[in-house]
Amino acid sequence: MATSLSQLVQRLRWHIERPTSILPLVVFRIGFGILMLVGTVRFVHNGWVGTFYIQPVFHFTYLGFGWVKPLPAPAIYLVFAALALFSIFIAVGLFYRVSAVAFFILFTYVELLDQAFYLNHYYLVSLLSFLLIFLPAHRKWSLDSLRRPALRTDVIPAWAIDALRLQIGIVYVLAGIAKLNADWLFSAMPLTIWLRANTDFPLIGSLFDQRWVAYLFSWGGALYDLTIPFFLLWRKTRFLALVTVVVFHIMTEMLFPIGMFPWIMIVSSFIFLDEVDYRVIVRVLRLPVFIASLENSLSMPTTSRAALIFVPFFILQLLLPMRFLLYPGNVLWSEEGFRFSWRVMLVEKAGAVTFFVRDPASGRQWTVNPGDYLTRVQEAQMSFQPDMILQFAHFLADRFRQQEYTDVEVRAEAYVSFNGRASRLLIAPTVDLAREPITIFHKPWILP
Amino acid sequence: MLKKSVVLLSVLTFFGVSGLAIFIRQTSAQSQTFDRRAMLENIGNNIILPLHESFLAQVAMLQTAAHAFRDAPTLENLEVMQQAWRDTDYLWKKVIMFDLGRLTFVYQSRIENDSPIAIQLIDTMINGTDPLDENSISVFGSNVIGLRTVEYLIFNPAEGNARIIDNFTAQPSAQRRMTYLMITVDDLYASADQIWQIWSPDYQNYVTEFIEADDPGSVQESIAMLTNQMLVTLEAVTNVSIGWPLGTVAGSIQPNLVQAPYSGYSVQQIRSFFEILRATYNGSTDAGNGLGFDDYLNAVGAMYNDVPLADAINMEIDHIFATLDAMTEPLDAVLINHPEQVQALYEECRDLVVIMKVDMTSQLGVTITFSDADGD
Repeated sequence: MATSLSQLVQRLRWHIERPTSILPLVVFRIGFGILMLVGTVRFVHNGWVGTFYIQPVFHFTYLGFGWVKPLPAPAIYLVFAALALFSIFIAVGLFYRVSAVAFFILFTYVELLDQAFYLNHYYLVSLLSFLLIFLPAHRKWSLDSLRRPALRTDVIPAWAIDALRLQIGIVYVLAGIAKLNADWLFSAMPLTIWLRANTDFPLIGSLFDQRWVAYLFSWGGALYDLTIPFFLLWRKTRFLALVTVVVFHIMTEMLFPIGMFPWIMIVSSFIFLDEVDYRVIVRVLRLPVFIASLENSLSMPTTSRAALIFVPFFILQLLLPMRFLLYPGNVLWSEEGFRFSWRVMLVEKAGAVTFFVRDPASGRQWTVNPGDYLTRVQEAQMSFQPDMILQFAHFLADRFRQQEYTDVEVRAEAYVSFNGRASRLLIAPTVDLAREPITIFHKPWILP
Repeated sequence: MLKKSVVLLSVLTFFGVSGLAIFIRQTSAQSQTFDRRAMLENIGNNIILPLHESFLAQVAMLQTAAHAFRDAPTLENLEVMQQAWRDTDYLWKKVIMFDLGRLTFVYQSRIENDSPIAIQLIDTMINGTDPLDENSISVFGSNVIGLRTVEYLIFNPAEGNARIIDNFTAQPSAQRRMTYLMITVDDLYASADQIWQIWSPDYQNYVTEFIEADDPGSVQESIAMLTNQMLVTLEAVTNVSIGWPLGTVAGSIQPNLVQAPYSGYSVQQIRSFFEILRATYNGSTDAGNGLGFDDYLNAVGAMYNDVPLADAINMEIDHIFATLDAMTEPLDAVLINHPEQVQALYEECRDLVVIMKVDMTSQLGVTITFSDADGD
């Protein structure tokens, strides 16, 4: 027994430490750096630094991260300038470790500022940049390796690439599992709504108001997510899978305003190529690149103990998306356990919420239109997310407390439409939200 | 053997491809793709353009009436000017719903903005000695000009029209008051003309841009933009025009916060807005009922519980008109005598906000293009 276990550990160890070409990792590093530079410049260019982090008088914070506050202008712009700089450093492989650490910290800082602006792909960027900190991605085709030739290597232990593959695989497969719900499979929702709003899509748009097309896209999308990492892993299907990835994501980019996400997924899928694939590419494209063979590369960086951090990291990655099972009800409606779970493009939701503040002592009542305090994006996001409605109710109670009303009650009337259903109340309109605690536990006032 | 299989394969491929082609053609023929461009054309050419043309003509009439009053400040000319103001204000409440895209609120805010006008500042300037011309007024910004300022100058419900004429003729500052009125009215015309020039096919032709924006790749930009502005205006009417006087913000009824306190015209203003909202939603014009959001909702089969969503929205709008019809006094008087009517109106407006902002937008798939931000 003991022998077989130790054999297993040994085999696992051999597997994750087997020598492999550094090329996929280096290509990923360069692609990631360039994309992050483009993403940062685009963010600033669109004026989002101002509308997301300077204009709002109130920010929806993440539980436990209420202390993370936006820097005032112009300092907040320096954060974005630094993000752009470190993106370049990552792409060219200069001061790589420091740059990766700085990029991860700054990017995650920005993401923690306001959960109204949560996007799955921002979360993915945080995770990928965290992984990069520990990966030897600067040991080829980098300024660091020019400065310090000792760094240079063509071979690295396989875990350095497998970690990224695992991360991308988790995103796909969990996004696929999340699609296995009744709305997606049996009502083709929300794709039915989104596709029929795009009937002017080139070539095939005229078919988009056909129900069967929405079903085809729904089932096809689920199948794609569930299988694509495996087809990318398998050499025989890899090329076709790569073409599918490009076509699929360019199509989503044209259909939906999902920003950088498709490009991140396209660039990430190149991590699945290996040394043999790169040889083919170099030969076909006649690139003046020399690819060393693994056999001729004698030295390989040893595995640092720091890499052990990947074990809890990936366990957490698998557990977080499953936490919705701890809450009653439909996660897509209640959004309890919704974030950080790769529930991508799963719901079409719109909401309208009005708050009522009452001072029991005087009997006076006020109606609060959240638009008076929140930006459009913040208001729209809050309108269908109970935890954000609760945060805003606490904010209102504080505002009234600062005046002469020490003990106000705050109620909310929130109507939400979900995947094409008629609007209905999201939370109990009689509950005094000012008295409801902000916790991770189930909120019993969310209506089923 | 090889030949046989090649022939068989070719035949199968032929039938397979043909079958698929026929299937796609059939299902395409069955589909009644809603012509969103035709809807935008109807709204742009048959609603927006005539409205803005009428508005400019109406402001010109107000300007003419003001000049006539300056030349002969009689009671009759005052009343003509007051009526011209009411007609202008009535159309303005429709124009404001089309503050879209390139219009960017620059000129609109000179005609009216949410903040109350700065009465003290206006009086100080009229009663002072500083030179009074368009430059001296414009430096103080939009709260001392626009429709609300004209209203303040030419209506006086407490002391009557005789007092107004007295103010413009006999008081020490009469001349300056008249100058102030002329500057404000001329500025109104300049702003209305700028707005018209942006829309007009003879000038900047934004109407074509508005219609053309529904091209491939733009993700139904104009429809999202128009829906957005309909909702923004609906919410402003609900929260500001009705909610503020009702005391939703102050905690008690505030009759002085009605939008047209001097002319007593607030109910008609609200009515005017709902007329344009209903017309745009239904695509209805003087010529008849064209393509509108109701047709779009019907084309996608949108239901609201057991009723077509398009009808459910019209029913909500009907409720609002019924409540407005029952209001026979100016809004500030209704607030004091029948506050329950204003409360009912406010709640009906909120119901309409919910069904349009939540149900309509999600059925039309405009929520994901609604905000200037990425999704998911």
